[in-house]
Amino acid sequence: MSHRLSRRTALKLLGAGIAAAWLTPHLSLANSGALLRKSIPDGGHLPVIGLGTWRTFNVGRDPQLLDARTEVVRAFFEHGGGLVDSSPMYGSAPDVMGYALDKLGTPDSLYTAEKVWSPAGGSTREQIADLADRWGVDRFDLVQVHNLTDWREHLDVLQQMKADGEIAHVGITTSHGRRHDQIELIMREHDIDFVQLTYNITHRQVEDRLLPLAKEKGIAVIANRPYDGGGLIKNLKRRHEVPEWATEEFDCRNWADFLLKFIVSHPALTCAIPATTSVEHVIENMAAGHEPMPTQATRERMIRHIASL
Amino acid sequence: MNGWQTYRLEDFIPFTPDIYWRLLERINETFWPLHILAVAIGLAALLLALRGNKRIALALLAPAWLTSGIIFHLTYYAELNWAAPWFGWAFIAQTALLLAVAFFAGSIKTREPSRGLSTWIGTTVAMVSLLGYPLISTTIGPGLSHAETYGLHPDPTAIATVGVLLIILRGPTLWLTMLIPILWCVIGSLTLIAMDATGALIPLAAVTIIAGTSVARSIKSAAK
Repeated sequence: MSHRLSRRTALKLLGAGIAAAWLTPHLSLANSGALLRKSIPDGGHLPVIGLGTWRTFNVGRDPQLLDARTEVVRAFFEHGGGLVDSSPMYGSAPDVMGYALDKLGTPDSLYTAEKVWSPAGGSTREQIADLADRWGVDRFDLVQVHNLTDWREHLDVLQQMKADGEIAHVGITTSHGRRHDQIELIMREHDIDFVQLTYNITHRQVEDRLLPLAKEKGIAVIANRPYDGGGLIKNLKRRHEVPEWATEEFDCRNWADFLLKFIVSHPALTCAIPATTSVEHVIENMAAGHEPMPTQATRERMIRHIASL
Repeated sequence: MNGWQTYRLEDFIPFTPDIYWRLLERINETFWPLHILAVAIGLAALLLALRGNKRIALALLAPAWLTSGIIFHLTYYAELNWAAPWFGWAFIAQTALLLAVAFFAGSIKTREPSRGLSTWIGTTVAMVSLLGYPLISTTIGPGLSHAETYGLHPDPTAIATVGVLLIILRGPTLWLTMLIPILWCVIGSLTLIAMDATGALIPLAAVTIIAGTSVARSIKSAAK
């Protein structure tokens, strides 16, 4: 793939690095190591923990919850966060991001990831313009085709917009393990920068074909549902203690560390996007992006441990 | 995996429980003390149903569907759920249906009030929904500020309505007027189940009792 890194994107990614480097020593919950960043097409880097907005940011016009979510966004950026992912399918989530950015200002580290969905019907540019207006941003860094809806038409338009410098990156998404054959075909035959899919310690189907293919093609990978919709971490927190060997081997202090470090330590993974309504949890999530990370042998032990519970 | 079997109930609920509880709380903050008037009208409908004044009882049930349709669904829930406007219009349709049945009450199959089991069950369900649901709903949500009330929130509105309808209607008219309330109670319970709420089955249990009683009554009537 041939990609050009726009000056704007390069400056933003550089800014993100400087901001995180400055913020890292102030983290009360962070591991001793640096916040891990991974490369994306065109030469930039992203922090390995992003912020999802499905369900959590759909608060409508509730002033109390708008302010509460703004605090979540504030904590995310204060702890070095970059990528925020949303969708027109997520109700008022894009408006809530617009509210938060209006209150907080737009940090240099922000990497905006949005989606387009069906019906396409010539509406791709219109959808993106509407979403940019709701976020209050000039343009998005990444626009993805949501769950492959009308993907041929959307991808054609997105590629043109990328060529015209209207967006930086193009991607496709799936979740819950759906339509992997189609995803694989698009990854093989089309020039995309990102693929978003479900990957967590209990849903690892993508390890067989999609993650190796992404690595081979230089496609950045966003992992959605890192806590399997919240149920995985809730059950673990309720019933089990983090194993001592995990603490010894990669400084794992809680289940957020355990689950997120497992995901982002995969060589093909770029970023995980846990969603949360809690400032405490977003700080916990961001701390999980810090080194040390588990080795391949430790990752296998982690899988065996979860399977044994 | 490509099929519908990969979807779970919570995939259709685009908000977290705290957002839903706040929605209930906002409605209560904004519309209090309209709750008292709404419950009073509901109690009047029940009393008139028990005294055999079917036409006015049916007409008094209608405003609760209009207010909960407009306030809950079209104004508040629509901020969170793309399907809410559809629910809101269904509630407004139920308003029109109840008024139409009230208007034609003289020429359709109704039921003289009796002291039979179905009247007791209808009365109990309606009373519990009108007076007890605000307290019951505190076990579903986080507290009294989130209590759900007849005429403002859809679950107690639907449950009280089917209770009153069981007292005064029978045959196809009963089932026609119970259709939207039953469908809503199914949706309401599924929403609460997806949010892992305690007491999620209350709306479903209420309409199951009413529908079961109605079926049993029809079978008994046919056997005579």
